[in-house]
Amino acid sequence: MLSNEIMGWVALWILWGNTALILLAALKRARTLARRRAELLAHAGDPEPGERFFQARVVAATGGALGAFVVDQLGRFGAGAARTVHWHDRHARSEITGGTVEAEGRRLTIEPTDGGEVWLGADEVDAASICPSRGVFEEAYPSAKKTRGVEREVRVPIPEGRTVWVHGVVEDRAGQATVAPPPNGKLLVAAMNPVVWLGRRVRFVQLVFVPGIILGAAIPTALALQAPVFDSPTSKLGGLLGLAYFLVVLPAGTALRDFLREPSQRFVRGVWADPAPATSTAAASAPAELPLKGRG
Amino acid sequence: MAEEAAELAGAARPWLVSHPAEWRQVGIVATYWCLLGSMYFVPACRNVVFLGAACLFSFLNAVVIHNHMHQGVFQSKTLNHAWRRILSFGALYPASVNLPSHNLVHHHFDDDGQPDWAAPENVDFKWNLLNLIHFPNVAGPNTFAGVQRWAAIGGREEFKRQYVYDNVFMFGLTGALMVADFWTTLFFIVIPQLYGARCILRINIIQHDRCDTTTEWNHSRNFVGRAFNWIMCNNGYHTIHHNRAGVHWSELHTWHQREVVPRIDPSLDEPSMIKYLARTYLLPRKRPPAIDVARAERRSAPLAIESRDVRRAQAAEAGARA
Repeated sequence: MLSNEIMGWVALWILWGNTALILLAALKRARTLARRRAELLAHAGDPEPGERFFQARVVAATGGALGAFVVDQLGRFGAGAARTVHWHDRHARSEITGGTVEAEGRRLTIEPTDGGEVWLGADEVDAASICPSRGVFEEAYPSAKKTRGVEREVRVPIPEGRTVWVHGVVEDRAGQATVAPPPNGKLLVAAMNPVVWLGRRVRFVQLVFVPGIILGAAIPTALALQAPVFDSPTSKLGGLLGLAYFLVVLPAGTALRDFLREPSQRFVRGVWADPAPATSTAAASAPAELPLKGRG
Repeated sequence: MAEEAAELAGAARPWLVSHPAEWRQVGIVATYWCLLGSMYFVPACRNVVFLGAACLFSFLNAVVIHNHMHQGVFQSKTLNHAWRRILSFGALYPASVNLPSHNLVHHHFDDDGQPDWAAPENVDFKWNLLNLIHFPNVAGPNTFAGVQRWAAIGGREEFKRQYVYDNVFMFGLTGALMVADFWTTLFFIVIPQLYGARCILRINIIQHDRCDTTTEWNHSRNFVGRAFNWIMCNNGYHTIHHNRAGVHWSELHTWHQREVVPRIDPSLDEPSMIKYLARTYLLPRKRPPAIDVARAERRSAPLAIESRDVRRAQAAEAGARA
């Protein structure tokens, strides 16, 4: 016969076992980010020959942009009475198209690179993905209503004049300083300080997430273990909260994983709402500004 | 496939169910409910044997969800919808979720350009046993988040209605049982429910880890033991199920022999799941290295089947009928 007490301990073991796994996964990811931060800091300095991490300014760029973060999206019309387009990320990529940066009075060439990383702030990417005008919405919506949806490309460039952080190998090629990918990684061009971003993410895991989920599991455990154990109303409340916590901590783990994705891999998604719901079928006044392509 | 359909059409139509073999699935679910009921109402049944059996049958209940959401168990649509509620209670997750998460996304290993929500790559511990244990903690939330996004698209109102009905029934009944007897429900109803739901998620890593999902015939691992497949309603034959989702589960063995065996790497035809689990997760610490399983496919005669896009559309249609 399995008593409430035996089963209660089994249930708590399940709760804490899965909490521990989520903690381990979070700490593993945080350790990867912390190592990356340490690697950048180890190479921080003036852009002398060798592997370097330095701050610079874009002074010239192919086509006006040193690179871009690009996401291919597919849009479909949303449910409900309001006209909306829901965007789904398909492929995200970093494009380093090349140019010249200036750091500590030196000019360095960044050559076009496949497989580099472009990091941009979330605010900047979000701003680039919103519906730019009523005209674009009116163009997108009819295709979004078709089975195959509407495609678009969200492109967030790093233009001339921007401050960037670069991680790569500085080489002297025929008298010209050039930045190439590091030996064990990708060429990084960030329009935000990656050391700060990585540090914040690591600290969030260590100071907020880990203590938070331990506390979250400890509270129902403490309540459930109030005497008479697995019998009293307080213990019952602990059991109920434990079940609720078990169902909530799992999505918290995957939300953290998404939060810790490098900016070059972040999800953009987004929803466009009808900019003029009262006169939605009126003629569009603004021209299309984003590359849209109907698939249906 | 047309020959089989014609043959079936020519045979006497079974009473109530869509195929005579469906009674096995009905029996599995009935046994599961009897086990849960016994433990809930009869204190003497709250023992290791009943709890273990309930956990096993909860997993089988989730297998039935899988089969039912591909092809309805009953002839009547009303009965099929009611059956969804029964199955949802057994797993404490809405059976309707399988339509987008399994039939449309998993069968094609792709969420329209993004990875499958239940891709084995979702876990990456060095100690492989932790990957097996932790996998549902990632694949589960991935699935529900993906389903929320999928359901936000227009034209999916019927899915959302069924999803709500599933939730109302399963949470309503579980909640009512909790009100009547909290601890018994938590320990002897909810634990088996969650065990089955988590095991059916876990089967994704078991069936696809270290396979090549870009190939047509070497994307899945099969477990071909006869007894195993009898109780599992032929869910061991996973490759052919992915490629021919319209084939009834009772016929998968024949199709597997005919189409899969000549094209699959022999290492993906496992005689025993227990031996595979022990060999892969218990004995070694590390994840096994990837091997070129697609070799067998390259050497074999090609077989024309519909593209994954076409099969995805067929799966959507079949799921909507279930």
